[in-house]
Amino acid sequence: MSVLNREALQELILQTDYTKKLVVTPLLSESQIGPGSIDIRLGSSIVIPRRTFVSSHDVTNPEQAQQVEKRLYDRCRLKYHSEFVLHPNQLILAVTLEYVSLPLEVFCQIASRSSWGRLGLVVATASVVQPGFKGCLTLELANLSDSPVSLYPGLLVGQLIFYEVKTTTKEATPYSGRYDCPTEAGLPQFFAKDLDKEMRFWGRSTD
Amino acid sequence: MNPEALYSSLIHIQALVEQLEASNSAHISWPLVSCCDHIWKQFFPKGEPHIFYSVMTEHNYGIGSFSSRLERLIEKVLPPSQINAILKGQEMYCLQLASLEDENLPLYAIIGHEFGHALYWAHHDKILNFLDKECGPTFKVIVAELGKSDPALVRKRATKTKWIIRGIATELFCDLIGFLISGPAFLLSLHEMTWGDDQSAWTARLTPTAANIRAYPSSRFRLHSLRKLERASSFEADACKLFKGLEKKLLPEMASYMSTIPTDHSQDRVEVSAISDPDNDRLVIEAAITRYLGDLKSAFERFASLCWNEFLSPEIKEKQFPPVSAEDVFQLLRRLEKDILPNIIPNNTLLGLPASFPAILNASAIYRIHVLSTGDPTSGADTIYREIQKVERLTAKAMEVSYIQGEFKNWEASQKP
Repeated sequence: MSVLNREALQELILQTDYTKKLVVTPLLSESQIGPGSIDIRLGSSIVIPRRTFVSSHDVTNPEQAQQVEKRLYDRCRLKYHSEFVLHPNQLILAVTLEYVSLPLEVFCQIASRSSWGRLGLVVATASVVQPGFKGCLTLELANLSDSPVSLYPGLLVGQLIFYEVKTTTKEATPYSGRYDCPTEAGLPQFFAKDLDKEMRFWGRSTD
Repeated sequence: MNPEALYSSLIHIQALVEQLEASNSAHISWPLVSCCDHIWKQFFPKGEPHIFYSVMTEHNYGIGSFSSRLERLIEKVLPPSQINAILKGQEMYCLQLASLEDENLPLYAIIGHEFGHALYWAHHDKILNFLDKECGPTFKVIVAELGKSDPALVRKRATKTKWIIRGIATELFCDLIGFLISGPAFLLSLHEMTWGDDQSAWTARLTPTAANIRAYPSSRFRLHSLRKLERASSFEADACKLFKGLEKKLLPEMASYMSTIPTDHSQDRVEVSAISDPDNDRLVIEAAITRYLGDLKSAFERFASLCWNEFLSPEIKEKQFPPVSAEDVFQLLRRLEKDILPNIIPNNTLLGLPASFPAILNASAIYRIHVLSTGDPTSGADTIYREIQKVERLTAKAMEVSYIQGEFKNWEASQKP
């Protein structure tokens, strides 16, 4: 698995066949494409976790997991040119401005941009994007510093690093995830996949 | 002023205040507001009348003169000098948009119709001249018919009939403006909105004040009036050539979908209802309009033709609201069929060209109709619903990012020395 450099990325972006094309849109400036990555921006849709009466998030219990998904978050839409302050130790989910479509031969990872990282802003913890994924990416923004950080939609906060995937079969398996072409910041969806069902086993009630 | 009247006025003023309070970016789709504002400035470049945007509680869109409404309310509680000081003779409209726009996409293209109302009010003398010219002779015949039943009531009934004809003409005029702004997407969305409705009824609702009468032509006649515009047929001709390049099953056939929309209005009928009708005006007016409906239709067609050809200048039609490019729509459909955001027209550059709002609206409307009309019912309504939701998500995001892309480009250009 090798990292795709600028030339390889440009070639993939200029592809006319949409099944082979790498889409990261909108690109507002060509300089977003770096030597080995593409810079991405903060979008306008965010989700703010609500502090609640729940003692803890126990996601091995399906009923509690549903609470986590539906009741413990506030969904907001930020206006462009308007400030959003991320306070110390605060975590929010935010969508990228960019919509991404990965060909089946490309895998990608989200990383913080170094300057923001040095301010204490972490932009992604679940940083893997599977081959064939289509949609906007959800960033988990956390302020690990002691000072509040002002954020504005459109700011370049992260970067995508692309890798070529070696396929062994002629037709690679297309991405089939729990999020279908999302354009808003996504909430956690426990128990959406068969694999998640095993959490019942690991939790306190193993009935 | 007695306390009851004061209380009533204050309650109505409170409703107006709530409308103002809803005018914030928390619940309105701001890319849509930006688009609407751009359209407004094209129609009213001098900045008069003013407009602001608010959220509507219904799943719909509406426009009204906020200043007139405010004036009517405060004239009961304030002296004229204070009213003049508040309003300063300025006209201000409020365009109400449905909240949660992401889930209200089928109606996006319909917003154009609302601008038609503002344009009608701003130029009603000219438009009413067209109406008098084309519908005047038929109106006289209808008045003569009304006189046969009870001559003593003919004047009152003629006034009501006049407002019915005006109401219908207004709707037809607004449809033309909707089509001018949104292109074939307006026709498709209007068609989609009327699914399940009675498409052959011309309706009117009589009210005690004749000027408040609301009247609508039949859906089939509305669609027929738009379908025959040259812009509709030329888009379809171009689309038929281009859409062959689409891959998804039955998507190429959508190029000629507009021709398949039923527009036969020969079985149309008139339905007049009334809030309070002591003289039985409803039935008499209904019978008279029914008798001359054929003549009225011809007159309305000529009226619409005059509005399109003479009221809308070539400058407006070709420069401010040019026809939607079938090529652009094709490029966006190519993206939609692969679940890719329909926001860019490729031009062999890394950035591409941001798509226009009308192009996005049209690609989206065509794709929606494709999903709805070709969705496999055996796979369940849920599958079609999910697919429609996906199109709506992608379209809303495309409108947002293409707007931002345009704004950023303008800003970048302004930074160059």
